[in-house]
Amino acid sequence: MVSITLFLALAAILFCIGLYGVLTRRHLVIVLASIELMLNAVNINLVAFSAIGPFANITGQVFTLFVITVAAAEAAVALAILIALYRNRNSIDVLKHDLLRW
Amino acid sequence: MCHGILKEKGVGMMHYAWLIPVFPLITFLILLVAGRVLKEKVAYIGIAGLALSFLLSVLVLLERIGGETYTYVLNWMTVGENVVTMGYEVTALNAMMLIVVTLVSLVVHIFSKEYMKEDDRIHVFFAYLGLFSFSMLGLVLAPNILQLFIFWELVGLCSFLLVGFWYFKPEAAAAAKKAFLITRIGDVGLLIGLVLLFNRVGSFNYAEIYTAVEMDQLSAPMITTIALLIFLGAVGKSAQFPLHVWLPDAMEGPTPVSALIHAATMVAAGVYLIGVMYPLFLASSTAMTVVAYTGALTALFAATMALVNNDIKRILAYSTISQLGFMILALGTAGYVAGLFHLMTHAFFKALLFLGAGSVIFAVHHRQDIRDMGGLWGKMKVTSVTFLIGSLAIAGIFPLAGFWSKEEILASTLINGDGFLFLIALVTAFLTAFYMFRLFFKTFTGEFKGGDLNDPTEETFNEQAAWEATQSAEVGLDAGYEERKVYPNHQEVPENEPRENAGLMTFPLMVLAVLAVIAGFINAPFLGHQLEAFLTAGLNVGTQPHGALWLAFLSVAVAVAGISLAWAMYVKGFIREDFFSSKAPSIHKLFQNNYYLDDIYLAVFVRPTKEISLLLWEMDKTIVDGVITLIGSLTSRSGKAMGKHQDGQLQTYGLVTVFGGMVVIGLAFAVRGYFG
Amino acid sequence: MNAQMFFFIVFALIAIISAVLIMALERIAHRVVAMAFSFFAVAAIYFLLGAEFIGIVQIMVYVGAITILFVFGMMMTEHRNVGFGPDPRKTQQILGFVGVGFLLAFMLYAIVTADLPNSGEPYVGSAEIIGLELYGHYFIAFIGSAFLLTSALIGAVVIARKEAD
Repeated sequence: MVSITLFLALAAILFCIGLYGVLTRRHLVIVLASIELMLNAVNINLVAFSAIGPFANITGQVFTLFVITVAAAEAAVALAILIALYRNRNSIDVLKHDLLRW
Repeated sequence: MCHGILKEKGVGMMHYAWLIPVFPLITFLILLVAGRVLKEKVAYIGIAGLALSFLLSVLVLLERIGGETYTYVLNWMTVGENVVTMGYEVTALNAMMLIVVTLVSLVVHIFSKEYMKEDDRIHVFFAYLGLFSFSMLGLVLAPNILQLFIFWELVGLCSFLLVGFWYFKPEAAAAAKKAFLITRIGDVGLLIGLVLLFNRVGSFNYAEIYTAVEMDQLSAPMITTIALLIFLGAVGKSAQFPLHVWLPDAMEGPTPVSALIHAATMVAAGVYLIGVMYPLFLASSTAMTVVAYTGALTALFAATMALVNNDIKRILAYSTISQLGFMILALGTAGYVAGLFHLMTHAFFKALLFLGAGSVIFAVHHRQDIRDMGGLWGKMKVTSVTFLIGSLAIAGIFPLAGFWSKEEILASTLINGDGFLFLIALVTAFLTAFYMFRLFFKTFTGEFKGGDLNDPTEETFNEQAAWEATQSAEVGLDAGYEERKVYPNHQEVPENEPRENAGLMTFPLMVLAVLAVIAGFINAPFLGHQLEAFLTAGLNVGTQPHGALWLAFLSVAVAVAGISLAWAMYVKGFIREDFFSSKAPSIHKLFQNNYYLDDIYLAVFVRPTKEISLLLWEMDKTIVDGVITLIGSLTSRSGKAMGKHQDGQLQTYGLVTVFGGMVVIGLAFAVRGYFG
Repeated sequence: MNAQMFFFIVFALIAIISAVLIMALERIAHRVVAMAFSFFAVAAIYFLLGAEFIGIVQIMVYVGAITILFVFGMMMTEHRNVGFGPDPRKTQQILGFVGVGFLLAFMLYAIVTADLPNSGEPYVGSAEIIGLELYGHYFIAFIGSAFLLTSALIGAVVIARKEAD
């Protein structure tokens, strides 16, 4: 069996790629996609511990389901906001949306 | 009599004494609310209120004669073991004062109805008069010195309001401010005295203070300190040297107000204060000496200043200061009754003189310089005669009111004071007679020098003109209105000569003239010193001195000498008018300039204060403000610098968060050795 | 090098490369496709771990629903624009890279040094066990997520709807 360390390393790498995308991409859809990627990385962790962790049990997978549920809801609302934003401000460039500045 | 019935039930008229100040208060409130609507009718309301007060005062006095002191107090607050009370009290002294205040106030109200009828703010004027009367009556009725102090301050406020009634006139505004500030100096002393007194005695009540003084609860230096501090309050209020400078300036107020201030209310409050605190003063010979000398010096100085002044109201003002000095002098030489007796008689004839002066000023279209007057004797019959009576009374001619009281003052200075004080009193009496008759002769005899009263080129800057100036400025477009206002004092086309005023103005003069004649008899020796018996009953104020017969003759002789000199100078011209001023011009100038006291105050107190204030202001501006500005700009600059980084960019925030998280992780790693 | 290891490496590489492509590709549509691939690879990782039910859900929700949702989102916004031109924020990118790199280093260091025990065969979580857990132990949370989804549905509709003029 593959060592859990490798699964965790994969999750960390995916998480960091997602985080980098959130921090640097200008297109809001891609920012959202990056967030989904980060959530996926977390799910890998959960499932890995659930399957081959020191205390393997079903709880990790149940939580994965919850995370997927919340991620779906989040994606739906976020995209709705994005569409409304685009309609009102005619742009989904992150740099253009800085109304909350000092 | 109704009070007889009430007496049977055990509730006398004195129980209702608290209503006396309430009536003027009610008129004040009515006029405050409805004054604008009532317009000319306000005078009737004011007069009615005061008439009720006067009536009640008479009833109270009648009951107090032969009765006991009536006190009614409620507990106001408890301070530790001491109880502060509020209430009212009818003593012999304040029963007398109630009559004087209500009577003079009533007369002034009646006089003002005519005098102020053209003023658009007449309702405000009568409202202030009501408040003024209320304050003074409340002061008089107070059973403890704290309550007295409250009304004392109210009186000060009212005089401020009334002196500055024509506030659009810069002089009036300045005079009001001056009166308020200078009396404030005295009030501070009074307040400190009060606090000391409460601290030592544990009560503000007169009775308990008297007892404490009698039982030697206070050390002698403490009594002297308290007495002097309280006296400082009286000095400010009663315009004694050196705080007298506000009173002449207070002449900027309307003339009826001057009458009220000088006769019955404001300045009488100081003398009254010494009167009610008299046992305290008696217990300290130092305080008594200070009081006596202050009074004597004030009397003399003020009289000399009155000699050379040409403003009819200012002469009377200086005369008031001088007479107040007399009262203080009497009180300072153990002449308790003499001082208060003079307070009463003076109230009558000074009110008479002021209202007479008001009548004259009114008739000559608001001119106040006596050099512009003259020859009014035939033209203003009632005014002239009553004014003469007033002048004779103040000069102390037998048998008018002033004679009796002044003779008693001379007696008390002679018996209890020293020769110096007696000499000053005599000289002042002589000067009083002289300057009063200088005023009288210049105003009423000889030729009228005012010229054409309707001559518009005539320089007649005065209260009314200033008022009209603002009025016409306000209603500039209303031409008809302006035309109506040109000669505000006469309904029809005015004549070119002064003439007697309407009955409403002369009636008060006649009432006061009668009083100025007969008021002295209540303490006349051959009638058994009635007032003295009344005032001293149950009070420990020492034996009252009485003069010998020769003193009465001396007093009258001095007065006659003064009158004769005035007659010789101003009527017959035996002595040239400028005889003295040309002989000693420097002294003349000294008198004229109020002994340069105003200038001295300016140089000693006002200027340095201003300089120091300016300096402090500069310091404040550069150092204090500088530091504050520095801190402020530092904050805002750093805020701006930080704000630049808060660019509203989500991803910038995210990046900062990442670094922040890493710092936390790094710290955990460094400190704990990685999650261990 | 057994089969499991082989498949793990393959799918891990697919996931990572797809993830990098999401960041790197020019066109939005291509990026979304890369995202779908990445999700798919993650689903395969779940199968490798013996979590078949989760893997199927991952394919249905992520590869199916969310990707479609993203396609819609992309279509209704600026899908024609190929990027926004050169990014003015060089510092942001560099600092982002550095920060994320450090974070990754930290995490990898932690994972490697954690010294986790290696259990032999994976614990297989069947759909039945998950269902029993959901309707038993986590019932309230399950109902709560139902409410969450409903409100998200309504909220999304309300927000995305054109405002009535």
